[in-house]
Amino acid sequence: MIQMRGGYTQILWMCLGFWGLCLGCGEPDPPPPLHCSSASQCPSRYHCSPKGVCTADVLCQSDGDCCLAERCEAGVCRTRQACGDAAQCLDPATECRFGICAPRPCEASSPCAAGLGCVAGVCVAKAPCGGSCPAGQACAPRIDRCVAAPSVACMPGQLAYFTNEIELMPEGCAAVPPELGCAALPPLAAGDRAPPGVLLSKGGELLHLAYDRTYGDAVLARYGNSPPFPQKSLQIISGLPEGAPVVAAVDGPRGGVAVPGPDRGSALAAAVDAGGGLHVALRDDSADGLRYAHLGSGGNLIEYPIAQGPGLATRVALTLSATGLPIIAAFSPADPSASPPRAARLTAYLAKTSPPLTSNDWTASEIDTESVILPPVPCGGPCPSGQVCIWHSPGAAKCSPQSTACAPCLPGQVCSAGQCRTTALAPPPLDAELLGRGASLDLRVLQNGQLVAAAYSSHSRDLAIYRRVGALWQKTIAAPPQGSQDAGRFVRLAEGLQGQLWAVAEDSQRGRLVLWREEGGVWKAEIIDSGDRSDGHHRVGADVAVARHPFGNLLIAHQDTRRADLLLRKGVLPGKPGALQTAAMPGAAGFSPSLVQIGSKAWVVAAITAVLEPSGALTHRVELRELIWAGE
Amino acid sequence: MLKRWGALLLPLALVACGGQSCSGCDGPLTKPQAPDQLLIKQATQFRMTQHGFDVIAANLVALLKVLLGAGPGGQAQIDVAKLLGPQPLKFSSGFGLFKGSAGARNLVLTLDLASLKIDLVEGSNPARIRIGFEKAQIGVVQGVVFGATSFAGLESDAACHLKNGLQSGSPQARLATVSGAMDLVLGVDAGGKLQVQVQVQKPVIHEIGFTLAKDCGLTECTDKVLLESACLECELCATGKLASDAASVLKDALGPLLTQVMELAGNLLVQQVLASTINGKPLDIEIPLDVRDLVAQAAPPLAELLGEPAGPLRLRGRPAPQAFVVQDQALQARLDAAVFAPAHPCAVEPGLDATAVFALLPSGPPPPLPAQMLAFAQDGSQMQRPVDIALLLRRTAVDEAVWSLLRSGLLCMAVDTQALYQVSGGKLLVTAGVLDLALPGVRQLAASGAALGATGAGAPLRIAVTPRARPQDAPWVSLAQEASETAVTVRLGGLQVAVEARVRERWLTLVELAIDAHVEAGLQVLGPQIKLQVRKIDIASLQVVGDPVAPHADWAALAPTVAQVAVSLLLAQPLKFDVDVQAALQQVLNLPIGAELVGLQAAPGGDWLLLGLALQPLAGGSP
Repeated sequence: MIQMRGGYTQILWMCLGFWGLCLGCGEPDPPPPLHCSSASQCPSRYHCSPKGVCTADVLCQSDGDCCLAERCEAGVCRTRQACGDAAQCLDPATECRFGICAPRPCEASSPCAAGLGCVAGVCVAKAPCGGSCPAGQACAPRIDRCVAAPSVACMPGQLAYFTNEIELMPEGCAAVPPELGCAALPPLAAGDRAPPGVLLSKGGELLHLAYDRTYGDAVLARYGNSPPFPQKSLQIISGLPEGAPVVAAVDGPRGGVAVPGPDRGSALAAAVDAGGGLHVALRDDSADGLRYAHLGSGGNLIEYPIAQGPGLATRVALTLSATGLPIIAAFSPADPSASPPRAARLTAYLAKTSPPLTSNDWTASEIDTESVILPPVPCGGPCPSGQVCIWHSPGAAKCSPQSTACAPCLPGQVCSAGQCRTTALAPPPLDAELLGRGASLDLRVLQNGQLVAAAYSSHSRDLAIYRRVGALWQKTIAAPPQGSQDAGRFVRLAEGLQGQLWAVAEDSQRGRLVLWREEGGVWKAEIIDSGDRSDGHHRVGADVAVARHPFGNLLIAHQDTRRADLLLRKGVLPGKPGALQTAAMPGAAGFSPSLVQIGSKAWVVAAITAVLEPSGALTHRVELRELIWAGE
Repeated sequence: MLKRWGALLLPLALVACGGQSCSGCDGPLTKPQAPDQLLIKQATQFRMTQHGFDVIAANLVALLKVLLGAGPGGQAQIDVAKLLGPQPLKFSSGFGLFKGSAGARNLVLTLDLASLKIDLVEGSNPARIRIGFEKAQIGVVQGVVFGATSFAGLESDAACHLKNGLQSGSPQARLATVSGAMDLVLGVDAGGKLQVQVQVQKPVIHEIGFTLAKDCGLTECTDKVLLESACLECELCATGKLASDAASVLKDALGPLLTQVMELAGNLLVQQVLASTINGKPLDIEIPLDVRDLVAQAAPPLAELLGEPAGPLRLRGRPAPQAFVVQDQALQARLDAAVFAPAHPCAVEPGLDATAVFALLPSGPPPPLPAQMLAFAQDGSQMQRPVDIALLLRRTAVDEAVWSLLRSGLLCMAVDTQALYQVSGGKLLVTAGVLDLALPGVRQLAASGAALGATGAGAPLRIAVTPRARPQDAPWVSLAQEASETAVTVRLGGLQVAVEARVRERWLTLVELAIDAHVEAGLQVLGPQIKLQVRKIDIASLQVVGDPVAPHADWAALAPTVAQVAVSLLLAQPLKFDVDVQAALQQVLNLPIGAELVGLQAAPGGDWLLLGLALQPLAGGSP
């Protein structure tokens, strides 16, 4: 006999409500008890229950049609894992209770294995039922499923669950009244804090802003300002969705909210003003725009969009005016394939008040634009059938009839008019890089109050320096160093000796670190690090961070991308490359470094290390280390 | 036609570039830059078989006949005044009535060159090429003998026409019958210049006979010493006394005259054959060779993958001591040679550039010359063909060439996704997304910080190859002869191969490997081309170095697969290089002789590489 059972919860509540009358619920007319030890001893459409009795099959379409102890297999309910006197549970982490192998309950005295937490008496890797159930339901943690339950009031960060889930589980949907409780949820797993990262010093602590790529947040970590720089807290600056359910401990990351929400912070810049206020400019990937956040010294956070536009703030820089007003430079990359083609734009946003409270408190000023024209597709596109696109002369491709009269041609060649000719191909479909002036940028206010900006063009492959004079931006191109036709990426500005403006950036063509300084209106480049080492050349100019010692020397952090190490160079002056120190670390270190001074001889460098786990998971580590430097 | 591939024929090309009109080389000649210690003794040899020499000798004979104005019957007509200058031939003494200042002028002789023969002088060192004639007949077409005389107590002069005296009046009328020989001696002077000397052996005059005839029109006969007989002083021409007196004197004079004529003819021959090529030119020379450019001409897309070398390959050669010898009936030229290139910083570690190792590498003696080689045509047919010229290259010189190529930075390659895509004709698109299959997480890494919308799957990769040009790693090359191809295996030790991904706007090294790889290729002469087919790349050993981003990746398993992909996709088709042997030969010998590649083979033991050429007279060609 086959019985069609209603939804498990219906049956359960039927039993719970009418348990005294529920004689036939879920049970067919009992045939003479037929004892069994395996299904083969039972008649067709019967199976051997954990109690060793042939029991009628129950049809189902999903697990929800079955008892808690069962799952829907091939259209009939089957015991999840049956056990009894004759069949003990094999997994020592489980025990046989009510005919099923159930996980041994955990509590403080019997902690879970590494990586697991004890939630609702069960060792789990993450909060069961996703950390919350809809109203009118509670969590059956062992099967990780919300089922109907009387309402129970639990605090945020707690999960309503069946405390007697096991008793409810035995096959046949035993009529046991449910008991509910509230379990403290574990904290959310911390997100992966990735570049970009900015280190700042505020009062007696260090602040590190980074992009949480797990949840798409701009996050602020607070650290003690002496080694080993313990992390004190983690605060979401932007990216936390409003009204999202709390599914983890409220005192943990993101207040227990797991829903990612808007993606913000993939580009960010920050500065701390004299009053301790933190100003942050950040990219909003979800809304495609620029946002600003201000965290007052008292902890009050304001955060709002400044402007929107395609790709706006893909790269940002932020500085403070002499009066503490935040100034932001934001880059929108060119899109030559858009219709109409879009030029790259570099725009400054100057705050009128501090802190600026709304988007109306900002004035926009265009620093520069750059149009990017891609080379035409060879032959204008695919050739007609039977023809191939071949180069007739450099830059001139034509569709020509394909022939077979040649011997096999070399790779990259095709036979046409009896000759092997080089095929003209459209560029392959690769991930695009940011195009235009501003792909790397920096912004600075000199001691004389002048606002200056630097922007590298990934199209022109050079570096432009801008000085704001009145309401205008005066532009000068800083010539690349000898032997290079591509320099200026990862640019950082510094105020050098006698108020001179210096710029440090990468020579991308030759993998060198370059220092530019202005002399008589002309920018002169010199190589600070050629990258030449005893084991060959290292590319050493990526991700530059620059700090200036009060004595005038520079401290430069940059990345060796051959070894993926953080490099520190102390005491750099024009004509003096300084002393090099390599901070070798496991993983790909040296991303997005930044430097702050915490004492007369004490500096801190923060950098991010990427680690590729054997599983393929990508994680990052923010690492702070002390650096002793007296300015020599 | 890739004329500069003639430089593959190192000995020929070296001598070819000794001349100022060296069209096969770049730029003017400069002081060799390849250091002396790199010179490998007798690294290259040039051998010409008797058959090959016979082809050339036949041309030399024909040329000599042309130079001497010989007609179809082999009769050369020698205008002595034109050959030796207008000044008359002075006899050493007077004869008969000619008391002194006797001589001959306006001599036009005939020389029967039918018996002219050219041979190599076996065992000669320096090499001698002997041009001889046996019992050749000399006739006189015109000529005047003259001298001072005293007549009737008056001092005067007189002159007579010179006529054949032997079998005069018959077709065999002649002045004399002589035998003689001259040697062209292939020497090299202290300055390293080829100096071909003409050494004439004293002719043997077997017989001589002439008559004299009076001609009152001759200047000496119009003195009018005796007014009543204006031509009286030349009456002596008619007397047999003068002719008989003159016979011994003329015989004495004819020997040196012939010697002078032969010397002159020999020098003309050398000048004509070797004009503007090698004679008198320094043989310690160097040819710059832009290998990247050569590959670009054979396979433009593949050249794009190569590195930018620090400078051209420099092929230097200079005559070995006893450069030219005749041995085993073959003319041999032996050159000390070196291959060198300026150092590229990517390939040469400072202070680790010892170069004397190549000259010290062991090497067996050169192999005997094969009389014939198996030649393959482009249509696949094959046949045995005689070898006339063989160029032998010592394997240690090939080793030095490989070292130089590595040293130049040609293999310092950084091949990115786009270059691979282009060179494979769009068949190969290796991105982070593809690598992610073998190295999970790479796509994520590339996606982090990428432009809006980029997933990382399309992030480009780059493979950077850095060779280590350490002489102490030599030998790199092994040669072996197979049925139809010459197998060349190049061992590349300590090759640094880095796999890089475009991450956050920079090339980030994912892993750096130190690889010992064996590249095996087949070489074959196919008609006028040399075919190079890379067969396989074996990864002999692989070591992960540095601090890679993904140290757990199983690169040892992945690398051979990558190598196999490279071979099957990029090197599937052979590279074919046209070799203009003819042009190279033309720069050495100005003779209407055609030259063709016959075959290439490694000598047993693999110490020598031998390139065979065949010579044949050019149809319709004449010296």
